[in-house]
Amino acid sequence: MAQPSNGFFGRDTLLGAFLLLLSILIMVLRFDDGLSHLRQGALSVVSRLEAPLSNVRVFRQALNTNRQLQRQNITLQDELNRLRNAETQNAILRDLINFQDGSPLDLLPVQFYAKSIFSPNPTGSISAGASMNVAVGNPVIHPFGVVGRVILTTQNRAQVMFYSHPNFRVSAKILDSRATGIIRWDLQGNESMIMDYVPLTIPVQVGQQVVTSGFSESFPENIPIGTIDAVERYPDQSSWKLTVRPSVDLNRLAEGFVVLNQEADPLLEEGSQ
Amino acid sequence: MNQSSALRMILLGVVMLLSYIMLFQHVVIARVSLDLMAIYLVWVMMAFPRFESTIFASVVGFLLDAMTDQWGLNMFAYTASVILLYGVFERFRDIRLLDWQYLTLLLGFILLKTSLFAITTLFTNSVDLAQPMWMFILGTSIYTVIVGYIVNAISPS
Repeated sequence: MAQPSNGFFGRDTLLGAFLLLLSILIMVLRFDDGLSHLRQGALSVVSRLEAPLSNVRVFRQALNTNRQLQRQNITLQDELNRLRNAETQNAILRDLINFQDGSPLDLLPVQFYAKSIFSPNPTGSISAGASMNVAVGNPVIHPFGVVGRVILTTQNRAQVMFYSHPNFRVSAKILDSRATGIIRWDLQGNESMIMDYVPLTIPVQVGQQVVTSGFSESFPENIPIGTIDAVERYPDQSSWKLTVRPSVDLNRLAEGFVVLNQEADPLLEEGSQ
Repeated sequence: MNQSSALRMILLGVVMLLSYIMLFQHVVIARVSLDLMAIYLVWVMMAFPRFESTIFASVVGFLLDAMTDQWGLNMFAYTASVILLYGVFERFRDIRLLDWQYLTLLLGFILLKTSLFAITTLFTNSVDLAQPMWMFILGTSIYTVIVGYIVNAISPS
């Protein structure tokens, strides 16, 4: 129970005054040598007391750091992918520029906006049209080889018939023997081209290069078409059936060139009208 | 003073001090930390005479200072607060306090203690409050009163 206070100078007041003075003394002398030993001892005790919990804190901190690093990793991965993509795109564009600079042809660089490769009539649209002198019948090529032919133009766009179109034909020759034939798409296998009308008297072998012959009003000479993949004989005919693997992969095609200043094929022009 | 109740209160004080050092001083909300020992000293004042309460306050303050390297600051603030407010607490000793009465007493005690603590730091320059003084006083007081209410609600006596 409460004890009565002993007046102003009672023991409660004296004790209070003493303790307050003591606390002020401690405040003032905290950096003194005598207290510094006490501080070191207290610090040692506190560090022991806090040690178990500090492990938890360190673990929690590690979890937070891990989460931040994971986020950073995803961001960096994304950035790396973009840089790799840009590097690939740069290399492709550099190749295209080199090809354009080194070619004697009048080439107009174009991008493919849309491609329908797997439709019955494979076509694509490009980023240039009549305003840039693109005309029906103009060949469309890539540094790797033939891509197709322009079949329709608008002011700023044009439609290209790919080499895999059933109606696509181009005069070709085997680079080694200069034997000529006609290239068409293999509608049965749907993976390669067929070169017809090469006489059986011409020796052919797998791996030979096939290029454009130049016997055409649209395609200039010596543009790569593909490589002979298989050699067969038509029964009861005097010509080879040569399977040609295309040089240009339409699936990966994104850029190309329109060959300008070539006379358009009058037959095609009539057909488009 | 009953010796067993004094021993029980000392043990409770040690447990609360250790739990504060190990855990509650790190539970900082909006740069404000809890003053757990203020809740303890309110209980002490409600149970013990002025003389013993003053000794409890100074010992608790000293130990807290030792553990937090704030030598003399808490000791001075606790001791002075107990001396100044003991008369008020003494009046409520023999009655069962309502919640709001308890919270008002706790709020008054913690406000006085943190104010004395903050003012003392101005003279010693030994502790950085890390925020404006009024925010430190109000924040610590409100945080402590909320925790004090929870502790009071769940404690058996």
